[in-house]
Amino acid sequence: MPIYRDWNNAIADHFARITPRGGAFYLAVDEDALAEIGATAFPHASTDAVVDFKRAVRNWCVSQHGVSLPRPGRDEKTNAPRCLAFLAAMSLAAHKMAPDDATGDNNYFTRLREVLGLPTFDKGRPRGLLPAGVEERLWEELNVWARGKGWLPTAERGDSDPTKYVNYPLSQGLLRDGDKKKLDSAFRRDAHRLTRYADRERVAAWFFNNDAGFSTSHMVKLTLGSADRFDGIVDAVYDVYASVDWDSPENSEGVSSRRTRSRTLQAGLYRDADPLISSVFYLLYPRRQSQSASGLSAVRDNGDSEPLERDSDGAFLPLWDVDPAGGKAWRVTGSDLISEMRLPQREFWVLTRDNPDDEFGDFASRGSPQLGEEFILLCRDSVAIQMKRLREYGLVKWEGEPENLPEYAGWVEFRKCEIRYPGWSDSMPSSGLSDELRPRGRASISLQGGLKAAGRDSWLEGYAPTLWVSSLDDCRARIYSASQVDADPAMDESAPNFSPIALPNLEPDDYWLEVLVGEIRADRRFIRVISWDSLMLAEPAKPFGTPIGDAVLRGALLTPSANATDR
Amino acid sequence: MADLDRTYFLSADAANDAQRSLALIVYGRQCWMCRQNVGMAQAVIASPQYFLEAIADHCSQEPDYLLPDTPMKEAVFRVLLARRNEETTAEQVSEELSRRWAATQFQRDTSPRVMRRLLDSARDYYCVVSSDSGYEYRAKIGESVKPPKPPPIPPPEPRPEDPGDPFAADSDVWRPPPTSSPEENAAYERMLYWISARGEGTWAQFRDAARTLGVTKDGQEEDRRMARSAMRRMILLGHVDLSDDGERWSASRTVFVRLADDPNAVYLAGARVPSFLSGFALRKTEQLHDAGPPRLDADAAILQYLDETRALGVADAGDASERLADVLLSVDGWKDTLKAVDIAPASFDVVERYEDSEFRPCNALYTRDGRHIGESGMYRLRRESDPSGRTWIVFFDEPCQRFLRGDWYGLRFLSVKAPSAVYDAESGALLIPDSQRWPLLYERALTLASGLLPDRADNAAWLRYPNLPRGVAETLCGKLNVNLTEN
Repeated sequence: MPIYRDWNNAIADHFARITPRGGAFYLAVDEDALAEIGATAFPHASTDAVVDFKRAVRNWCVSQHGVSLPRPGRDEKTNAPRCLAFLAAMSLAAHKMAPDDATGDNNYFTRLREVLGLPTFDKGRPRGLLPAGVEERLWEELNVWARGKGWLPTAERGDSDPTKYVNYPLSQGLLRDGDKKKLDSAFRRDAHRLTRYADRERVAAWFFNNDAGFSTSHMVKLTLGSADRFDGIVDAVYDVYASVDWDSPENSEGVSSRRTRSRTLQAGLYRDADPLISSVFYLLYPRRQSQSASGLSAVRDNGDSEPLERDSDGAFLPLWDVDPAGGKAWRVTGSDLISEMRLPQREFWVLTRDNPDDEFGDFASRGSPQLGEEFILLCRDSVAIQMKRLREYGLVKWEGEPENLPEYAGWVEFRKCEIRYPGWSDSMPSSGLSDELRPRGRASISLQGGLKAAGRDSWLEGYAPTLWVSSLDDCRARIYSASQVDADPAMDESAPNFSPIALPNLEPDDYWLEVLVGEIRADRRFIRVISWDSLMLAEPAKPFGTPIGDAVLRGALLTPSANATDR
Repeated sequence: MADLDRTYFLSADAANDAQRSLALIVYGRQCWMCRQNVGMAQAVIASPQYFLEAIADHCSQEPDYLLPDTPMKEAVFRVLLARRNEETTAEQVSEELSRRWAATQFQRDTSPRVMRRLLDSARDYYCVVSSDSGYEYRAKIGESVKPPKPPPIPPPEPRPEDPGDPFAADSDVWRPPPTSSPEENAAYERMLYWISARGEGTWAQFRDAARTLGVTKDGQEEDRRMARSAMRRMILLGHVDLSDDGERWSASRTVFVRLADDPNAVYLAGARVPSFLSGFALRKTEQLHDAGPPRLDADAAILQYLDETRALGVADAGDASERLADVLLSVDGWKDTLKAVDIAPASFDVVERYEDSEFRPCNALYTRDGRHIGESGMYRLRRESDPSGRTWIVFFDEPCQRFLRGDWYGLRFLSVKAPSAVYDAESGALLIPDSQRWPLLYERALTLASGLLPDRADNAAWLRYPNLPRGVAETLCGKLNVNLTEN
C-alpha cells in the first residue's frame, strides 16, 4: 500500500508530466486528479485513490488531533519537496469548498479538517497550523521547486488578513468541485451552440462571454481577476468540457462526479510561410495537452502513420497541410489514453506567436491574443465583414489589405492585426469573432527588447526588456523579487499607457512584474534575470550540419554520417 | 468624383515628380524580341512613347504578356500599357483581366473594387495616376521616336575586381577597414556566449541579439549586412552551424582543433560560456582585422587529458582544416549540393543581376513556355509588396534551368570566370582576392587552419589566410579550379 512518500513522488511525477516548460504551475489537486495520479502510479492498488491518499497523508501529517507539518527539504531520490503531498491535501480542501463559500479562514479550515480527518466541531486553524502563516515556508519551497523546473509558480499570499495565508491553497484551485458540476450542466444545456467538438478558444469565448447564469460567485471572481490566471482558467474549463460524457445522463447530486479524461487530441493550425516563393500553407498542429503520452502516431487519410514529435518545450510539431475548414478527425495509435485527433470545424482562426514577446516566431492557433499582441486572422470571406466592423468601431487594427490565399479558395488572411482598445462595450454586437477577440482583462503587460537567454522568461543581466502596459485605466507598475516575498519593490511607479517603461537595473534574481488598476492586480509577468557567469551550455535539439559525402561537418568537427547525431 | 467615373493613366509628370525613368519602366515590359532592338543604355535616354507603342502593337499580343501568375499590380499596369495609355476605368481593367484569365486554373480576384484599390496605389512605382489626382492627362507620354544608336563603347577601364598585386602596399583599389578594437571583439565574445547558452535559434533572433550587444549598428540595411557578416565569421571559426535555408542556426559542438602548422598547439572552437571556460587554462589571441571572438589557445598536451575533457563534452577535432580539405567536393559537385528553389522571376518586382561588382537592374530574366530565359549569374530579387524590403539572392544556372540558394560569396564565386590565388611560401599564407572570396564551406577550411579570421595583405584588396600548409592550399585550389601561383 503506497505510503506518504510514494504519493509525494507520484504527485511530483504527475505535474512534471502535465506542466509544459514555461507554463504556469498550479498544484490543482482534486478527486479527479488523485484518481488519475493513483491509476498511473499505483495501477494495482485495490483501494480508491482518494481514500488511499487521505490515509497516507493522515498517517504522516496528523498526530494527536493536530497537524504535524512535514519537515522542509527534498526527497533524496526525486528531488521533489517533501511537503508536496501535504500541500496537495491543502489544495484538495480548497477544491472541496462550495462554489459560493466565502474565502475566509473558517470555511477553508473546515474543509481541511475533513480532508485530514480532524474534528470539525472546532473551527479555524487546527493545532499544528498555528500561529497563522506557519505553513508559508512550505508554499515558498513549492514555488522554488516550480521555478527550478522551468515553470511559473502561482501559489501566493493574499492581500489582507482574512485570506493572507489561506490564499496559498485557494490560489491553486481554479475550479472547485461545485463549479465543475455547474459547468457540466451548462455545457449540456448549450450543446446546440457549442456542439460536442468545440475547441479551447470557442469554449473560452463561451465561458468569458456567457451570461446564461451558470456562474457561481467563485467563477465570477475568476473572470474578473488578474489576466495572468486566464490561461489556467481556460485550461480548467476546457478540461471539464472535454470530459463531458454526452451520451450519459447528467450526474445527480450525491452521485460521484469523478470524470474521465477525453480520448481526443485536439488540433489547431500552424502557419507555414515561405516568403521566397510567397506561399502560405496551413499545417495540422496537435495541441499541447495535459496527458502526455509518448510514442503516439497519427494515421493520415491514405493510411500512412506519422509520429507525433515534440520540440524541446514539449509542444507537438506540426504535421501535414489541411483544409482550414476543419471538421475532420484522424485515428491516433500508440496510446491507451488517446484514440483520435480532431480538427474542429471553424469559420475563422486566430493565430498568435508562441511567445508574445518574440517578434519573429511562427504563427499558430494558440489562444486569444492579449491587448497589443500581434496576430493573424485567417477567415472565410464571409467572416471578413465582422473583422471590418470591429475596425470601424476602433477595436482592432491591421496592416495592408486582406490577402487572398491561392491555396485556400474562399479564405483570406488579415495580417499584423492588433487589439487596440481594451474597453469593448457589452453593447458591441456579439459574434463568434468578437467573442474570441474581446479582451479579458483591464490591462495587460508586454515585454519587448532586451537580450533573452535560454528559457522563456529569462533575460541576461544588463539587458532587461522594456515594459509596455496596455490599458484604458490609470495603472501602476511594480517589480518585486519573487524569491524574497517581503523585500521592497525594485520599482513602483505609475505606468503610462502604450509607452515604453525602462526597467531599473535588476540584479540576477527572479522577479514578478505586475500592473495594478487601483489596488487590484490586472496582470502579472514573471521574469528571471541571469548573470553571464551563470550561463550554461545548451544542447540544441536539432543541431545543423553540412553533409559532405559520407561525413557531416558541424562547426570544426567532421564525423561520419552515422555518428552525426551523437553529441 | 464617384469611383465609377474615375479614370487612370500613366503620367510622365508624375514620373518626373517621383524622379523615376518612365522610359525604363515601360521598356522593361516589352517582349524579349522587342527588347533586342534597343539596349538598356539607350532606353535610359529614350522616349517612353516609343516602347509604349511597341507594347500596344506587338508585345501585348504575345501569350506570355499577361500570364496568370503575374502579380496583380503588375498586371493592372500592363493592361494600361496594352490600351496605349487611354484613360481607363477600374471596370475596364477588371473586364480585360477577367477576359484574359478566364480559362486559367488560378482563382484571382479581378473585381473592379480590387482593381480600383490597386490603381489607387500604383503611383509611386508605376507612375499611374487618377483623373482626380491633379495631373493632366496626355495621350502621349513623349515622342514616338526610335532612340539613336549608342556611341561606340570605349575600351574598358581596369575592372574594379582586378585586385592587382597582393604585395603592393600602395594599391588604391581598396582601403583596409580599421583594425578591430578590443571592445568589438568583446562584443563578439558575448555574442558567442549568448549563442552557446541558447543552443539554437532563428536568424532573426541572431540579428536582434547582435544589435542588442553592439555587434551590429542601428539602421536597417547596415544592421542586416553586418549581421550577415557576423554570422559568417561565427561559422568560419567553427562556432555556429546554419540550416539549409539560412533561417535557423545551432551552436556547434565544443572541440579542440590542432593548429595546422604547429603540432604542439590547439585552440577551442564551438560553444563556450564563462563558467565552462573556468575549467581550462587558456590563452587569448585577439582577432586583429575583422572583429570576432578571440581565439582561445592551449598546449596540445591538454589532449592527453581528453578523457577528462570529454566528460565536459569537449571533443578532439584534430587537424580540422586538412580533414575538411580532403573530403570537400569539386566546385561542380558543391554546386549540385546547393538548394534549388522553384521560383517564378515574374513574381518579383525588382530583378537585378550582379555585374562588375554591383547589382544592376535586369529585365532579361523571365519565363517563356515553361523555360527560364536569362544569363547564368547571381541575381537579387525583391517584391515591392514585402514591407520588410527583404531581398533574395539566387544563382541562376541557365543550362540546368535552376535557381540556387547559398551563401552570398559562394554564389558570387560561381560567377567568377578565372579565379586565382597566391601562396606566400615565406609566411605560409594563402592570398585570395577579396572580390573572389570563396564559398563559405571552403573558406572554413582556410580559417580552421589558424582559428583566425583572414587579415589583409599589403595590398588590402587581398585576403590573407595564415598558417596554411602548402598541401592544403593546393588541394583546395584544385577543387575550386583556382589558378594557384607561388610567391
